[in-house]
Amino acid sequence: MCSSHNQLVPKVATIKKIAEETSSGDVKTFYVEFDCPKERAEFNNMPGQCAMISVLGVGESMISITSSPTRPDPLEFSIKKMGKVTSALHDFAEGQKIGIRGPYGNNFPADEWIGKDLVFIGGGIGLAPLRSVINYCIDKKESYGSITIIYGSRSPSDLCFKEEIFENWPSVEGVKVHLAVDKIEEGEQWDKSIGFVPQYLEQISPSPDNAIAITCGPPIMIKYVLESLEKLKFKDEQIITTLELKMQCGVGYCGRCNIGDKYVCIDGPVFSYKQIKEMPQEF
Amino acid sequence: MDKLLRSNVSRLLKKLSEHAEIYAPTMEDGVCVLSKLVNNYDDWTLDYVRTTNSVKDIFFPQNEEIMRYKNANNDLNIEPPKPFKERVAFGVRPCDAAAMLLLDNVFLEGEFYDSYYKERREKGALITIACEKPDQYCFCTSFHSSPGATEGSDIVLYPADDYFLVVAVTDKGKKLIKANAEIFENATEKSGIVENYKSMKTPIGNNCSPGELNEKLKNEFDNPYWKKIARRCLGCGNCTFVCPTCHCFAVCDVARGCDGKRTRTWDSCKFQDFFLMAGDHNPRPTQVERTRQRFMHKLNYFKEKYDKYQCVGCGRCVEKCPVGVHIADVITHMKEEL
Repeated sequence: MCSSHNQLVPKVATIKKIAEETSSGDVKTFYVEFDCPKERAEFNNMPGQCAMISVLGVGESMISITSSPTRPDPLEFSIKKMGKVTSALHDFAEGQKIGIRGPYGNNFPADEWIGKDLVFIGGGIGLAPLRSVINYCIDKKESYGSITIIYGSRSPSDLCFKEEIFENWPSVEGVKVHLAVDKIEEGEQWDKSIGFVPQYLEQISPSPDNAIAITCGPPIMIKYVLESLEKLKFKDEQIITTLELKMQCGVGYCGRCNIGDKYVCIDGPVFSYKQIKEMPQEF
Repeated sequence: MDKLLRSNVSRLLKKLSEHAEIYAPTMEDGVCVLSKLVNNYDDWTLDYVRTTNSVKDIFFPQNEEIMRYKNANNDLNIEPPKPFKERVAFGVRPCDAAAMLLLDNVFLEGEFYDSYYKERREKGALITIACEKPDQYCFCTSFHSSPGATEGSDIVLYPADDYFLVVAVTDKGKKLIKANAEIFENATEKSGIVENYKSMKTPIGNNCSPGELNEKLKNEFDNPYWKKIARRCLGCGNCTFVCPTCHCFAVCDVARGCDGKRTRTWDSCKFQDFFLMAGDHNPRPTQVERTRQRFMHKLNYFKEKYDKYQCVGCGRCVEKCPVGVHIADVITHMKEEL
């Protein structure tokens, strides 16, 4: 059934497939299709944008769209079990119905990066929003220089998108993937690096010349990654990251996600380090 | 110019009720509330300075259903609410009418519009009554307004002896008068009544006019004054609920078996869990950050975004704050300090 154009009323969608990303089961990727093809056609998402996902009777959460518009169907959302809505969603089975509205917010300005080298730095579930723009740039690889992906998580079992990080991405010419974990348990197999993402980034030391660095992860990781990028002589306007605050409407009305006069839901979630430095430090 | 005899107001309201819901100031247990008149169109009063609730209620109600759903046998259906009725708010004050223009900025401008608010606004008319006796809490004149201002109103009624002088402000107001022409009379006498209302001063006067305060506040994020006034704040949220310009809300699902509804309810930046995220991160964890958020929003962020202060000087938050945290004092203090 196709419904109204009312922004706060979600469209009906079906979960076509659910994939466990981590062995602890705290991150799942939901493959979703709109029930009404017209509503899908009107959902013109760009990499980095988000959508409000409804579990009817429980509530809504703003979730980043992890699939790239260059690979439009199904839409993919990788969701960590955190609060009420995401926990309810984790109990869902394939074939069940959810509500979606969006896309919301700005996007990674990938079209402004044409001709540049790209350095993606992700931590944990923070790779989910980056994945949309990584695949977008890989699909238009001829437009970009080298692509460096630095990704870390607590342990090998917490790494998301294993097929892509181990197989698909490294096999693309001009794409390098560097993986690290905070620690490994006894008996765990791991032949990549061990250590925290910021230090690992400094070790890899990508050049800032004609480059853009894009980072997303836990706030504490972002904080130290930004410091490391400064050490590597990346300028503020060469560094792109995302912010996240509590949202209930997604369209700039409910008053929760402001930082100064910016609303993360409509003016974000993507900001340059330059923009972030100009904001009140309250996030 | 037209005039409306006071003795004809009930007749007008009854006539308008044939196709619209009528809201007017009524006395309830000694408190003046802007409420819906049902059957008794004599039930309005002129004995008020400001209604306890503002006209915001009529266009952005405290609680409303934003959709219903049914999810039986995995067949999910979502329905927006039924169309709203036409509505006329009578006895609005000029400050509240001006506040609607600020809510218009929030709910109607930009990439999206709020369907519920938009429909109610399109189906609504504001009949304002100019203020005869502003009280000690009023400071509309600090915001380029006055007890006789017309901004945001469709019609303004200016009280005279036993009648009101009628000024139609918008086309909607003109049409309303034309459609009910038999209830209005020609005002022949030339008088300065309207001008008197427009030039009337409120007791606090222009003392707390913010001027260019927004520019100065940009650098006052860490001013110790926020801590000082936040210490008194009880976090009751009175100020935000009675404010005709505050627009924050919470969304809540109410489920009953396979059926359910989603509602939205006014919420307040003064509440502890307002900014709380899943995972327990709270970017505004104490009343200091939340107090700063409220005043910075009204006096800096909103002005940056819409080039207007998010206050109309209605005085409700000043009147209702149990601990004397007054926006008028904040403006005055900051102006003197900076």
